[in-house]
Amino acid sequence: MSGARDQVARLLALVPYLQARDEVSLDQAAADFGVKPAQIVKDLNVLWFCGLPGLGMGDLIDIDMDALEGEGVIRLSNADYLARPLRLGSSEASALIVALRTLRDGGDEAVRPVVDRALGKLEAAAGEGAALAAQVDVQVPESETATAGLRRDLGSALRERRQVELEYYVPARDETTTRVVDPLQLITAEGHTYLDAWCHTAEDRRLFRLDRMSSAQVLETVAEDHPDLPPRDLAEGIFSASPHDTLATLLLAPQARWVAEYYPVERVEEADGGALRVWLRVGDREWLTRLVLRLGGAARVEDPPDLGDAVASAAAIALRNYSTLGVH
Amino acid sequence: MAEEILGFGADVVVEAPDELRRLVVDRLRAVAVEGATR
Repeated sequence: MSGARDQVARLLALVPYLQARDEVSLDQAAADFGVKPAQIVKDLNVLWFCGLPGLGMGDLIDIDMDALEGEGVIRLSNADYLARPLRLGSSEASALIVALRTLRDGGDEAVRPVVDRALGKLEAAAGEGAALAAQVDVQVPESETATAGLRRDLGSALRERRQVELEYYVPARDETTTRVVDPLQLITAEGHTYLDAWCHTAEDRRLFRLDRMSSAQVLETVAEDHPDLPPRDLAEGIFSASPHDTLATLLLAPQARWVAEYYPVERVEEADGGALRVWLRVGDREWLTRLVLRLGGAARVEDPPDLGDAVASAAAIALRNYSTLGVH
Repeated sequence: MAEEILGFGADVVVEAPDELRRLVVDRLRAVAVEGATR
Protein backbone atom coordinates (compact mmCIF):
# COMPACT_ATOMS: atom_id res chain seq x y z
CA MET A 1 0.00 0.00 0.00
CA SER A 2 2.08 2.89 -1.13
CA GLY A 3 0.11 4.73 -3.85
CA ALA A 4 -2.00 7.83 -3.24
CA ARG A 5 -5.23 5.85 -3.67
CA ASP A 6 -4.11 3.30 -1.10
CA GLN A 7 -3.11 6.09 1.23
CA VAL A 8 -6.53 7.77 1.01
CA ALA A 9 -8.24 4.45 1.77
CA ARG A 10 -5.92 3.96 4.73
CA LEU A 11 -6.45 7.52 6.02
CA LEU A 12 -10.23 7.07 5.96
CA ALA A 13 -9.86 3.87 7.98
CA LEU A 14 -7.15 5.29 10.24
CA VAL A 15 -9.27 8.15 11.63
CA PRO A 16 -12.12 6.00 13.04
CA TYR A 17 -9.51 3.47 14.22
CA LEU A 18 -7.74 6.18 16.23
CA GLN A 19 -11.03 7.75 17.35
CA ALA A 20 -12.04 4.46 18.93
CA ARG A 21 -8.88 4.46 21.05
CA ASP A 22 -7.68 7.12 23.45
CA GLU A 23 -4.16 6.40 22.34
CA VAL A 24 -2.32 3.70 20.46
CA SER A 25 1.37 3.02 19.93
CA LEU A 26 2.83 3.76 16.53
CA ASP A 27 4.07 0.18 16.22
CA GLN A 28 0.65 -1.24 17.04
CA ALA A 29 -1.09 0.97 14.46
CA ALA A 30 1.50 -0.01 11.83
CA ALA A 31 1.00 -3.69 12.62
CA ASP A 32 -2.80 -3.38 12.48
CA PHE A 33 -2.66 -1.68 9.08
CA GLY A 34 0.08 -3.92 7.71
CA VAL A 35 2.48 -1.08 6.89
CA LYS A 36 5.75 0.20 8.32
CA PRO A 37 5.67 2.74 11.19
CA ALA A 38 7.28 5.30 8.86
CA GLN A 39 4.25 5.02 6.57
CA ILE A 40 1.88 5.73 9.47
CA VAL A 41 3.96 8.81 10.36
CA LYS A 42 3.61 9.99 6.73
CA ASP A 43 -0.14 9.37 6.91
CA LEU A 44 -0.43 11.38 10.13
CA ASN A 45 1.47 14.25 8.57
CA VAL A 46 -1.17 14.33 5.83
CA LEU A 47 -4.09 13.97 8.25
CA TRP A 48 -2.76 16.88 10.26
CA PHE A 49 -3.69 19.17 7.39
CA CYS A 50 -7.15 17.66 6.84
CA GLY A 51 -10.41 18.82 8.34
CA LEU A 52 -13.67 20.63 7.69
CA PRO A 53 -14.02 23.42 5.09
CA GLY A 54 -12.51 26.64 6.31
CA LEU A 55 -9.42 24.75 7.46
CA GLY A 56 -8.92 27.14 10.35
CA MET A 57 -7.27 26.08 13.57
CA GLY A 58 -10.51 24.66 15.00
CA ASP A 59 -11.44 22.88 11.79
CA LEU A 60 -8.37 20.70 11.34
CA ILE A 61 -7.89 17.21 12.73
CA ASP A 62 -5.68 17.48 15.80
CA ILE A 63 -2.80 15.05 16.29
CA ASP A 64 -0.50 15.24 19.29
CA MET A 65 2.79 15.31 17.41
CA ASP A 66 4.82 15.77 20.60
CA ALA A 67 3.46 12.46 21.93
CA LEU A 68 4.16 10.83 18.59
CA GLU A 69 7.77 12.00 18.43
CA GLY A 70 8.51 11.70 22.15
CA GLU A 71 6.66 8.57 23.22
CA GLY A 72 5.81 6.87 19.94
CA VAL A 73 2.13 7.19 20.84
CA ILE A 74 -0.68 8.45 18.61
CA ARG A 75 -3.46 10.62 20.03
CA LEU A 76 -6.04 12.07 17.66
CA SER A 77 -8.94 14.43 18.31
CA ASN A 78 -11.30 16.92 16.66
CA ALA A 79 -12.49 14.45 14.01
CA ASP A 80 -15.83 13.33 15.44
CA TYR A 81 -17.43 13.55 12.00
CA LEU A 82 -15.26 10.59 10.88
CA ALA A 83 -16.06 8.29 13.79
CA ARG A 84 -17.55 5.49 11.68
CA PRO A 85 -15.40 3.29 9.43
CA LEU A 86 -16.10 3.16 5.71
CA ARG A 87 -18.70 0.68 4.54
CA LEU A 88 -17.73 -2.01 2.09
CA GLY A 89 -18.59 -1.31 -1.55
CA SER A 90 -21.14 -3.69 -3.12
CA SER A 91 -18.48 -5.51 -5.16
CA GLU A 92 -16.21 -5.82 -2.08
CA ALA A 93 -19.08 -7.16 0.04
CA SER A 94 -20.11 -9.61 -2.68
CA ALA A 95 -16.54 -10.86 -3.11
CA LEU A 96 -16.23 -11.43 0.63
CA ILE A 97 -19.56 -13.24 0.82
CA VAL A 98 -18.68 -15.54 -2.09
CA ALA A 99 -15.27 -16.26 -0.53
CA LEU A 100 -16.87 -17.07 2.83
CA ARG A 101 -19.45 -19.38 1.22
CA THR A 102 -16.62 -21.23 -0.52
CA LEU A 103 -14.76 -21.49 2.78
CA ARG A 104 -17.93 -22.78 4.44
CA ASP A 105 -18.56 -25.49 1.83
CA GLY A 106 -14.94 -26.64 1.85
CA GLY A 107 -14.33 -26.20 5.58
CA ASP A 108 -14.74 -28.67 8.40
CA GLU A 109 -17.42 -28.65 11.10
CA ALA A 110 -15.32 -26.54 13.47
CA VAL A 111 -15.02 -23.75 10.90
CA ARG A 112 -18.66 -23.58 9.77
CA PRO A 113 -20.24 -21.91 12.83
CA VAL A 114 -17.57 -19.17 12.71
CA VAL A 115 -18.11 -18.64 8.99
CA ASP A 116 -21.89 -18.62 9.44
CA ARG A 117 -21.68 -15.88 12.07
CA ALA A 118 -19.42 -13.76 9.87
CA LEU A 119 -21.68 -14.36 6.85
CA GLY A 120 -24.78 -13.36 8.79
CA LYS A 121 -23.24 -10.07 9.93
CA LEU A 122 -21.85 -9.31 6.49
CA GLU A 123 -25.10 -10.05 4.64
CA ALA A 124 -27.07 -7.93 7.11
CA ALA A 125 -24.61 -5.05 6.78
CA ALA A 126 -24.37 -5.24 2.99
CA GLY A 127 -28.15 -5.47 2.45
CA GLU A 128 -29.02 -4.86 -1.20
CA GLY A 129 -25.34 -4.41 -1.94
CA ALA A 130 -24.85 -8.15 -1.63
CA ALA A 131 -27.33 -8.95 -4.43
CA LEU A 132 -24.45 -9.72 -6.79
CA ALA A 133 -23.23 -12.49 -4.49
CA ALA A 134 -26.61 -14.25 -4.77
CA GLN A 135 -25.99 -14.70 -8.50
CA VAL A 136 -22.75 -16.60 -7.92
CA ASP A 137 -23.01 -20.36 -7.58
CA VAL A 138 -20.07 -21.76 -5.64
CA GLN A 139 -18.94 -25.29 -6.51
CA VAL A 140 -16.18 -26.68 -4.34
CA PRO A 141 -13.95 -29.09 -6.36
CA GLU A 142 -14.57 -32.75 -5.63
CA SER A 143 -10.99 -33.19 -4.48
CA GLU A 144 -11.62 -30.63 -1.72
CA THR A 145 -14.74 -32.38 -0.43
CA ALA A 146 -12.93 -35.72 -0.69
CA THR A 147 -10.21 -34.43 1.62
CA ALA A 148 -12.67 -33.13 4.24
CA GLY A 149 -12.08 -36.21 6.42
CA LEU A 150 -8.32 -35.74 6.22
CA ARG A 151 -8.67 -32.09 7.15
CA ARG A 152 -10.75 -33.05 10.18
CA ASP A 153 -8.21 -35.66 11.35
CA LEU A 154 -5.23 -33.38 10.76
CA GLY A 155 -7.03 -30.51 12.49
CA SER A 156 -7.53 -32.67 15.55
CA ALA A 157 -3.86 -33.75 15.45
CA LEU A 158 -2.88 -30.07 15.41
CA ARG A 159 -5.15 -29.20 18.32
CA GLU A 160 -4.01 -32.17 20.39
CA ARG A 161 -0.36 -31.82 19.28
CA ARG A 162 -0.06 -35.43 18.08
CA GLN A 163 2.23 -36.94 15.49
CA VAL A 164 0.65 -38.26 12.28
CA GLU A 165 1.66 -41.19 10.07
CA LEU A 166 1.07 -40.30 6.42
CA GLU A 167 0.77 -42.51 3.36
CA TYR A 168 1.87 -39.99 0.77
CA TYR A 169 2.20 -40.17 -3.01
CA VAL A 170 5.28 -38.45 -4.44
CA PRO A 171 4.56 -37.81 -8.14
CA ALA A 172 8.16 -36.86 -8.96
CA ARG A 173 9.27 -40.37 -7.97
CA ASP A 174 5.95 -42.09 -8.74
CA GLU A 175 5.97 -43.84 -5.38
CA THR A 176 3.95 -43.88 -2.18
CA THR A 177 5.92 -43.27 0.98
CA THR A 178 5.09 -43.75 4.65
CA ARG A 179 6.36 -41.09 6.99
CA VAL A 180 5.78 -39.74 10.49
CA VAL A 181 5.35 -35.98 10.77
CA ASP A 182 4.83 -33.28 13.41
CA PRO A 183 1.95 -31.14 12.04
CA LEU A 184 2.58 -27.37 12.11
CA GLN A 185 -0.42 -25.90 10.28
CA LEU A 186 -2.99 -26.46 7.53
CA ILE A 187 -2.67 -24.09 4.58
CA THR A 188 -4.92 -23.46 1.59
CA ALA A 189 -3.13 -21.87 -1.34
CA GLU A 190 -3.30 -21.91 -5.13
CA GLY A 191 -6.35 -24.17 -5.14
CA HIS A 192 -5.00 -26.91 -2.85
CA THR A 193 -4.90 -27.64 0.86
CA TYR A 194 -1.51 -28.53 2.34
CA LEU A 195 -0.23 -29.81 5.64
CA ASP A 196 2.84 -27.88 6.70
CA ALA A 197 4.80 -30.30 8.88
CA TRP A 198 8.15 -31.42 10.19
CA CYS A 199 8.94 -34.71 8.43
CA HIS A 200 10.95 -37.19 10.51
CA THR A 201 11.96 -39.14 7.38
CA ALA A 202 13.39 -36.11 5.55
CA GLU A 203 14.45 -34.51 8.86
CA ASP A 204 13.24 -31.24 7.41
CA ARG A 205 10.13 -29.11 7.02
CA ARG A 206 7.84 -30.25 4.19
CA LEU A 207 4.49 -29.39 2.61
CA PHE A 208 2.12 -32.29 1.91
CA ARG A 209 -0.84 -31.86 -0.43
CA LEU A 210 -3.94 -33.41 1.10
CA ASP A 211 -5.20 -34.84 -2.20
CA ARG A 212 -1.96 -36.85 -2.45
CA MET A 213 -2.45 -38.50 0.96
CA SER A 214 -4.06 -41.91 0.90
CA SER A 215 -4.25 -41.94 4.71
CA ALA A 216 -3.34 -39.87 7.77
CA GLN A 217 -3.32 -41.79 11.04
CA VAL A 218 -3.18 -39.68 14.19
CA LEU A 219 -0.72 -41.34 16.57
CA GLU A 220 -0.65 -41.39 20.36
CA THR A 221 2.87 -39.92 20.28
CA VAL A 222 3.04 -36.25 21.20
CA ALA A 223 4.37 -34.07 18.37
CA GLU A 224 7.73 -32.46 19.02
CA ASP A 225 7.99 -28.69 19.47
CA HIS A 226 9.68 -26.73 16.67
CA PRO A 227 9.95 -23.21 18.10
CA ASP A 228 12.74 -22.35 15.65
CA LEU A 229 10.41 -22.74 12.64
CA PRO A 230 8.71 -19.42 11.76
CA PRO A 231 5.23 -19.34 10.20
CA ARG A 232 5.48 -20.06 6.48
CA ASP A 233 5.47 -16.89 4.35
CA LEU A 234 3.12 -17.44 1.39
CA ALA A 235 3.58 -13.99 -0.13
CA GLU A 236 5.82 -15.41 -2.87
CA GLY A 237 3.74 -18.51 -3.47
CA ILE A 238 3.57 -21.97 -1.98
CA PHE A 239 7.09 -23.05 -2.97
CA SER A 240 9.79 -21.46 -0.89
CA ALA A 241 13.34 -22.16 -1.90
CA SER A 242 15.79 -23.11 0.78
CA PRO A 243 19.43 -22.02 0.68
CA HIS A 244 20.23 -25.72 1.07
CA ASP A 245 18.57 -26.47 -2.29
CA THR A 246 20.76 -26.93 -5.35
CA LEU A 247 21.24 -23.74 -7.38
CA ALA A 248 20.79 -24.71 -11.04
CA THR A 249 21.58 -22.59 -14.09
CA LEU A 250 19.36 -23.07 -17.15
CA LEU A 251 19.76 -21.57 -20.60
CA LEU A 252 16.25 -21.08 -22.00
CA ALA A 253 15.54 -20.75 -25.73
CA PRO A 254 13.04 -17.97 -26.61
CA GLN A 255 10.07 -20.39 -26.58
CA ALA A 256 10.97 -21.42 -23.00
CA ARG A 257 11.38 -17.90 -21.55
CA TRP A 258 8.04 -18.36 -19.75
CA VAL A 259 9.86 -20.54 -17.20
CA ALA A 260 11.39 -17.39 -15.68
CA GLU A 261 7.93 -15.94 -15.05
CA TYR A 262 6.22 -19.13 -13.99
CA TYR A 263 8.74 -20.43 -11.44
CA PRO A 264 10.56 -18.48 -8.73
CA VAL A 265 14.05 -17.71 -10.02
CA GLU A 266 16.91 -16.08 -8.14
CA ARG A 267 18.49 -14.32 -11.08
CA VAL A 268 17.78 -13.69 -14.77
CA GLU A 269 20.19 -12.64 -17.50
CA GLU A 270 19.58 -11.99 -21.19
CA ALA A 271 21.60 -14.28 -23.48
CA ASP A 272 22.35 -14.36 -27.22
CA GLY A 273 19.57 -14.87 -29.74
CA GLY A 274 16.69 -13.99 -27.40
CA ALA A 275 17.62 -16.74 -24.97
CA LEU A 276 17.47 -16.27 -21.22
CA ARG A 277 19.83 -17.58 -18.56
CA VAL A 278 18.15 -18.23 -15.20
CA TRP A 279 19.32 -19.38 -11.78
CA LEU A 280 16.78 -21.27 -9.72
CA ARG A 281 16.80 -23.30 -6.52
CA VAL A 282 15.88 -26.94 -6.99
CA GLY A 283 14.60 -28.86 -3.99
CA ASP A 284 13.81 -31.98 -6.01
CA ARG A 285 16.14 -33.03 -8.84
CA GLU A 286 13.40 -35.19 -10.35
CA TRP A 287 11.22 -32.10 -10.69
CA LEU A 288 13.90 -30.30 -12.73
CA THR A 289 14.49 -33.38 -14.87
CA ARG A 290 10.79 -33.53 -15.73
CA LEU A 291 10.71 -29.80 -16.46
CA VAL A 292 13.66 -29.95 -18.87
CA LEU A 293 12.23 -33.07 -20.54
CA ARG A 294 8.94 -31.24 -21.04
CA LEU A 295 10.77 -28.34 -22.64
CA GLY A 296 11.95 -30.75 -25.33
CA GLY A 297 15.38 -29.31 -26.08
CA ALA A 298 14.43 -25.66 -25.49
CA ALA A 299 16.38 -25.64 -22.22
CA ARG A 300 19.91 -26.64 -21.34
CA VAL A 301 21.18 -27.31 -17.82
CA GLU A 302 24.43 -25.38 -17.67
CA ASP A 303 25.12 -26.09 -14.03
CA PRO A 304 25.55 -28.27 -12.03
CA PRO A 305 27.03 -30.73 -14.58
CA ASP A 306 25.67 -33.85 -12.88
CA LEU A 307 22.13 -32.50 -13.12
CA GLY A 308 22.57 -31.87 -16.85
CA ASP A 309 23.89 -35.42 -17.22
CA ALA A 310 20.87 -36.78 -15.31
CA VAL A 311 18.49 -35.00 -17.69
CA ALA A 312 20.33 -36.24 -20.79
CA SER A 313 20.38 -39.74 -19.34
CA ALA A 314 16.61 -39.66 -18.65
CA ALA A 315 16.02 -38.63 -22.29
CA ALA A 316 18.33 -41.38 -23.56
CA ILE A 317 16.51 -44.03 -21.50
CA ALA A 318 13.14 -42.83 -22.86
CA LEU A 319 14.56 -42.97 -26.41
CA ARG A 320 15.55 -46.61 -25.91
CA ASN A 321 11.85 -47.47 -25.61
CA TYR A 322 11.37 -46.24 -29.16
CA SER A 323 14.44 -48.10 -30.46
CA THR A 324 12.90 -51.36 -29.25
CA LEU A 325 9.72 -50.42 -31.11
CA GLY A 326 11.81 -50.02 -34.26
CA VAL A 327 11.25 -46.24 -34.42
CA HIS A 328 14.25 -44.17 -35.43
CA MET B 1 0.13 -33.02 -25.54
CA ALA B 2 3.74 -33.81 -26.50
CA GLU B 3 4.94 -31.66 -23.61
CA GLU B 4 2.93 -33.63 -21.06
CA ILE B 5 4.14 -36.95 -22.49
CA LEU B 6 7.77 -35.79 -22.44
CA GLY B 7 7.45 -34.99 -18.75
CA PHE B 8 6.79 -38.66 -18.01
CA GLY B 9 10.17 -39.64 -19.49
CA ALA B 10 10.54 -43.39 -20.01
CA ASP B 11 7.24 -44.14 -18.24
CA VAL B 12 5.10 -43.31 -21.27
CA VAL B 13 5.65 -44.49 -24.85
CA VAL B 14 3.65 -43.13 -27.78
CA GLU B 15 2.61 -45.98 -30.06
CA ALA B 16 0.27 -43.93 -32.27
CA PRO B 17 -0.31 -41.65 -34.03
CA ASP B 18 2.97 -41.61 -35.94
CA GLU B 19 3.09 -37.83 -36.07
CA LEU B 20 2.99 -37.47 -32.28
CA ARG B 21 5.48 -40.29 -31.82
CA ARG B 22 7.95 -38.63 -34.22
CA LEU B 23 7.54 -35.31 -32.42
CA VAL B 24 8.24 -36.89 -29.05
CA VAL B 25 11.27 -38.80 -30.36
CA ASP B 26 12.71 -35.65 -31.98
CA ARG B 27 12.33 -33.69 -28.75
CA LEU B 28 13.81 -36.46 -26.63
CA ARG B 29 16.83 -36.49 -28.94
CA ALA B 30 17.13 -32.73 -28.51
CA VAL B 31 17.03 -33.09 -24.73
CA ALA B 32 19.59 -35.90 -24.85
CA VAL B 33 21.93 -33.42 -26.53
CA GLU B 34 20.87 -30.07 -25.04
CA GLY B 35 20.09 -31.37 -21.56
CA ALA B 36 23.73 -32.20 -20.96
CA THR B 37 26.03 -29.43 -19.89
CA ARG B 38 28.64 -28.30 -22.33
